[in-house]
Amino acid sequence: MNRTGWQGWAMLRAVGALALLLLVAPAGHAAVPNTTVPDAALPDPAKPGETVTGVLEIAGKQVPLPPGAWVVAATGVQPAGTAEAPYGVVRSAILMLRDGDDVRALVEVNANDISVGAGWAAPCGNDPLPAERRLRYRSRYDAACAEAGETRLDWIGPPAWQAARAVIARDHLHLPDTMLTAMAVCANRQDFLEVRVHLRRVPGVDDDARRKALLDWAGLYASLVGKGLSRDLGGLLLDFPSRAMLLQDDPVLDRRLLRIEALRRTGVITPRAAAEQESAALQEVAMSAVDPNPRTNTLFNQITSPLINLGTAYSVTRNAALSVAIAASEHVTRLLLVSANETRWDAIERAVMPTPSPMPVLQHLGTPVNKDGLPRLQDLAR
Amino acid sequence: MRIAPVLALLLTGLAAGAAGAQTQPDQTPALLEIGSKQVPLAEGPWIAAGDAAGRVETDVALGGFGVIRNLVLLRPAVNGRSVVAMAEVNSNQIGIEDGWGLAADCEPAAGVESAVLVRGGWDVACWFITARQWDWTAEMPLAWHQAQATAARRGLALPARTVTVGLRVANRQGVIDLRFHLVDGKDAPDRVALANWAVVSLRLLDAGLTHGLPAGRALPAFDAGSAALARGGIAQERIARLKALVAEGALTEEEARRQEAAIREAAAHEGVWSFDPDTIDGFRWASLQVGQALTDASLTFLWTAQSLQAAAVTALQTGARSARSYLTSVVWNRVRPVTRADSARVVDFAYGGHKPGG
Repeated sequence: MNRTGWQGWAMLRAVGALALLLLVAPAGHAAVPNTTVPDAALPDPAKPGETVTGVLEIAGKQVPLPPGAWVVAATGVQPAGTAEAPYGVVRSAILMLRDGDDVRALVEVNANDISVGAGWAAPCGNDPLPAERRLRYRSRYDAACAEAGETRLDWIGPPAWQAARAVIARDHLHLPDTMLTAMAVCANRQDFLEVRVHLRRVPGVDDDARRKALLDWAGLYASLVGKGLSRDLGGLLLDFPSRAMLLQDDPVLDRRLLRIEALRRTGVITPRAAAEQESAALQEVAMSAVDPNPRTNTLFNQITSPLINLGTAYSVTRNAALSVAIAASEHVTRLLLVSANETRWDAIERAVMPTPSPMPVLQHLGTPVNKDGLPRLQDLAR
Repeated sequence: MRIAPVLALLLTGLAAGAAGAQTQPDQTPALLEIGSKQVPLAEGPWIAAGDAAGRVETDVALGGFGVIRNLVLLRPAVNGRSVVAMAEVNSNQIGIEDGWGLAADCEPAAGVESAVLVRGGWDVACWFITARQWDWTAEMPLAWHQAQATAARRGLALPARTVTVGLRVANRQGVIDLRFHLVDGKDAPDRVALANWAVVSLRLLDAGLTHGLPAGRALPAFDAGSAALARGGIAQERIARLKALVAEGALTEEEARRQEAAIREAAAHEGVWSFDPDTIDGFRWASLQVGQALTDASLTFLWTAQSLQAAAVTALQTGARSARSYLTSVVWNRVRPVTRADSARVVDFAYGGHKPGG
């Protein structure tokens, strides 16, 4: 990171934020901010052909957009699946950012229409996660992750992509064959929001370095998408990866620190409390739930259990054939027992805990490819 | 003789008018906003009486939440001389990263009716009903002192005993603790009605946690009829939304039918007690260990026909496997250190009133 650039930018932002605070903070008002009535209604969702800047509204959620005038190329719904979860439909939108006749970037959004009550089953996928995917946090009821990769922009994709391709063809725009893709998924107990940002390649940059930078950016972007999921974006923006990695640390953390500072300045909290809060905010980490797998049924356990059984049986019986027979029969029984135990506890779990909704299978524009331009193995396996 | 009822009516009307003037509602909206969250109040008029920084009573590291907003609202009686209900809100102003927890009152205890409907390391939804006593000369949170001053200014008598129904919802970012203290008397709703009310209201509050309530949406009034209507209404609203999606052409009839069935099934199972995922995983692991020890002992005895040898082999195997599992967990959690148990902790705030005898 360019620290000189960062310091200059940070100072500029701090001065701007302070100026904003002076403008919005009521003079001499030392109480907690007033309770306000909510917006009369959610803003209308954007329609094809409209230009959007800053934030896209879709299915009651906010999608943060990198700077620029984004044109809504198409909207639609994902093809109906067979899921039993009552989420209505998954709404999709594809936006494009033009640079003359070139398509500089695309944003692809998917979000559920009706809220559910117990979260979503594995919104970031099951273990083992692909190497390109970075988990921010994961528990039974929520998850957030980011991924970086590359996409071949063929005709494969949901209806919204077909409509967007038609618009691109109609307007004689140039679309590159492949684009870099940053993906962010956030899900909570009610909703999920998945955003893919497709960016034109910059020539002359090392491929691995670019992918790593893109993954770092996608991680930051995922924290903003999480705020958008709860309609808490409130002016948070993130620049494109090339500029963002030079200028910003974590915009969500920056905003939190500024808000704490505002509470101190208006006298709502004491300077000491503010210092404690700032320290706590800097140390905050979004934790994941402990993975229960090591305790129950991992490949490691399946390999080591027969060895442990064999060793202990031999240490007592001093009879190799008998020990092998004991260990082998115990292993077969264990496999059956594990299966029966999992089935029984899955049923109990369903009875005593809210069951997460099955995550809808989403179609995405284009085909994910690896560094050599070939379809990725994990996508073929699906 | 015939003029007496008319005079009585006129006098009653004048008195009510005077009372109305005395307790002019402060136009408090049915839906409050704290941070990015919506907090719906029960239907009816409320006077905003206290608004101050609240206090976290539990010693847990919570991150930079800024300030806990502690609001107190009063509902005057029709005669305008006393308070019939008080609402108490505690909620964080700034969203954090690593979650909150259950209210201690949601845990089972004598004299408390409660249910935990969602319970995990980061997500909770629970309600409780309990009794509360009020000593207005005792030390209490600042918002309650403000409320006391507001009541004194308006000539409203505050209660000494209440039936308290509390709702707690939380996720990774935010928490809403909403308590209604209803004057304990002959007009107080019974606990069964309040329990039904709590189940419905918890769902609406849960939607408010992620800013998912339509503008002006309030919680139902504190009676069984309003709660039942609201309960049916929530499911009906979602079904109506499905029908709108069918009309829009976004959803097929068949898919809408399937989803409607899921909505009705979820409504039927609403209000069921929940355990946290970590507890279930613990039971899952323990039952496997017990089952495996029993089958190991039986199999070894079948092969060796010696009970002592069978017992020795089983004990060694169980011990070695348990040690292996423990070490695996320790190593795993060191490799992935940003993890903690998916088990709800308790986070409480400074509340008004105290438990009977407390």
